[in-house]
Amino acid sequence: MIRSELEDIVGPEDISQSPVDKLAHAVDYYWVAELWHDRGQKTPQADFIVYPQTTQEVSRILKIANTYKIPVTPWGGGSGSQGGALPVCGGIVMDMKKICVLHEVNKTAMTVTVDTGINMQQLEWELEKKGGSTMHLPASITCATLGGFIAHRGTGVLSTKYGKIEDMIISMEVVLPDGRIINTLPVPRHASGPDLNQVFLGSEGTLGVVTRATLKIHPIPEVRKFQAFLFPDLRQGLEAGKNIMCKRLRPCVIRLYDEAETQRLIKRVLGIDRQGAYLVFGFDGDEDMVDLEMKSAVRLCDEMKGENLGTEMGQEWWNHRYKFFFPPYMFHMPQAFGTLDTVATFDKIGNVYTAMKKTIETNFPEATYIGHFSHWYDWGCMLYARFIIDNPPADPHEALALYNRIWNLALRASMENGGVLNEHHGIGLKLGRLMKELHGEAFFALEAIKKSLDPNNIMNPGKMGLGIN
Amino acid sequence: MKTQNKDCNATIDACRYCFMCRHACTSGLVTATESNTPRGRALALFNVREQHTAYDPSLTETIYNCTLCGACKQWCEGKFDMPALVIATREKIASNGQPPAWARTIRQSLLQQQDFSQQDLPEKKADVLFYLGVQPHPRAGEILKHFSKIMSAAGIPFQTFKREPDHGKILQLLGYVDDAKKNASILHAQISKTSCSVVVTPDILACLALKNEFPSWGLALEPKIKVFHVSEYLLQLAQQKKIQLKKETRTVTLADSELASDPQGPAAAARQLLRLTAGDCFRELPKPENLVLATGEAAFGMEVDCRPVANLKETLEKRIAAAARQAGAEKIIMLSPRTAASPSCDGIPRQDILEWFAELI
Repeated sequence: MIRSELEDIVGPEDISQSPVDKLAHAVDYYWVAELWHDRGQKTPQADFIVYPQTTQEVSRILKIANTYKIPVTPWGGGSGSQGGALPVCGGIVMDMKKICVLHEVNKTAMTVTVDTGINMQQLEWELEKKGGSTMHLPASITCATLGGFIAHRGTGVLSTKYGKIEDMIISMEVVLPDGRIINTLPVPRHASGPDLNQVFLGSEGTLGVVTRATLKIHPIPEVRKFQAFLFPDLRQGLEAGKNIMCKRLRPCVIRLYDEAETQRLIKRVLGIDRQGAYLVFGFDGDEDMVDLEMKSAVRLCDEMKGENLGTEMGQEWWNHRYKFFFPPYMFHMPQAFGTLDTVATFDKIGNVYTAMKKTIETNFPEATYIGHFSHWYDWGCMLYARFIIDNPPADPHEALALYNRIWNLALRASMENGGVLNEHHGIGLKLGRLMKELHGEAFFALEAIKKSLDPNNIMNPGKMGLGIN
Repeated sequence: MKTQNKDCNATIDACRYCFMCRHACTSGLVTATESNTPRGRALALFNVREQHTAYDPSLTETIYNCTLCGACKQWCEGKFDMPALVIATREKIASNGQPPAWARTIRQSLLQQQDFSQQDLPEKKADVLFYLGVQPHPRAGEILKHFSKIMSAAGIPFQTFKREPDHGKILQLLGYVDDAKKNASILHAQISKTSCSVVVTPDILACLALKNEFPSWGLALEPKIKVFHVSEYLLQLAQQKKIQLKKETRTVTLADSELASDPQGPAAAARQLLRLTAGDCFRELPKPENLVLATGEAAFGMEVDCRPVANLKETLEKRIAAAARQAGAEKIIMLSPRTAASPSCDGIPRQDILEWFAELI
């Protein structure tokens, strides 16, 4: 019955109940899903995988789901690390990859309008042919869809200059849980009420499905140059990064690795075998301006007693920036690992780093703590901390319990010191339980929005701590 | 279905949770599905290997949907070899008699008429044997005429089989290794009877089979016999000035072979040949980060209607046509009559390198 109705919308080719399709949508990049799969446990599976090709099809599918109260989990690239795309309540997985039309490149306004199921790398290549770029270049660019980035407020390697995805969005088309199709205002800066873009950005498919977006694009810069430094310790590196940002220079990237990660990853991937904290930064744009800003940033690093490793060591990092995420360089089963990314103001970020490190090293001696600071703002920066356990318990339930304990303690340490639950990977299934602790009374406002837009709780149930009573 | 191969196991373990080549996977992009990607395939193969789930026919489908274009391996920093894993898995599926119906049809077709005799050998002897390798082909007669024109201009006699045995490469790609070896041994015997010292073939698959698979199957040709892809052979003729060529005045580009990307191989020779004759009119296809623009030659190994994925062939052709248009090319040169079978795509003519070369005489 349900299959017939869905088939009537998308056709028999675009609905699947095959075991391989169900499996492929039952494991995303969330470590627990990987663990479950690795240990032969049954992962939660959808009843139907549906591939709509238009906004209207999405709307019709949601109307059916809303009528029958069937859970719907939107799926983009499936490369999220928080379990946000896992169909934990079964029902329909709505795979968005067939909604991928590039509608318009507006060279006057410097915007692109595109369906959200498009693979981000494919979009970038299309834009590059036209001399532009979204400048949204995360490591997951090759696998994630635009919709995935919108869903969890993703960020790219050049975010320090070009912003996170929420800074790039001009307007969006959204299908609400009842099938209604709405559009946000044509510009993101106005005084015409609250910005609806920001309601749906980061909502992880719990409030509806974003089907189309208009984004800013940028010209390809004349040059992009890099410089690397080695600081005796992390604090000095942090101070140097803060000084660059507070002087209001505009680096496109700053990345500072703590001593442990410099030893572990920078050595392995870039071959730099040195004690200390490795810092790389870059500027892009017209060469004259880049050189001027670069000179100023180098001076600030010199003042903090950084050892200048030169441009080559910076360029090497840029050239290999995604290598860290490929096997065998990336952490992998049977290791347990997690990215405790958080963000705080400059006066607090150092303490957040230290508090999480102390929490993990004190409570979980079997774990290694490493981190780097990769997205910088005028007021603070993001900490990409990670824990790694080389030999977690063999029993998946024990491993999961340990894993969740680490997250709880580490993130509470972060929140107590001015950090938040997450900076750019989202909340998903992984961190939903901590949302009330983070937001306090303000979580009521998020719950009220959810109840109002999705009274039947069909949209991505079980995620973000929403719709769980 | 337990995989014994160490490298295949490493690929399964590495790829099952890795998404990093999603943008490159030809079948993944065309079908826009999760299962038709290296990750999807590795996830399912892990389950079968570890006996977490029983073998399922939908796994066969995704294994046979792979175009073997190698884009995933090319992009991978760890160089995990998904095409090798796919072929190894096909071998297991084939040994259990479970390939999809279209693959079984191709097998039947390639196994039929493999009864060759003295009558099928060339009527006249010559040092050069021209082996088309793509029978049946809608323009087989024209291809032979083109080669004949070139050889006549160069004053070099050649011989051809009256009826050609299959080389086995397609069967091998489909997982039928024993059948592939059987067919290859027939071709091997027939070539030996010709007393040739040079084999020239316009087909990439035939060229790869003769150069690589035959020795590995214990069917190495006599040391005196050299095997050339036509692009390699024609380059030699041009360099030795055995033929006079007109200058190419139209802008042309080359669609590389995803199966023969060896820097010393047919694609390199074709590129050199194009530069030699077209000069500034030769345009490289713009390939972001040198990504594979699959021609589908491994997926469409036979001129039978074997399209497991709707629109796959058309999509691949359009991708190449779009890149050619971006390069400003008026014509696309293909490395094999197989992939040049459609004379144009999206308004841009496609021509096999042999045919193109013959036109310049």
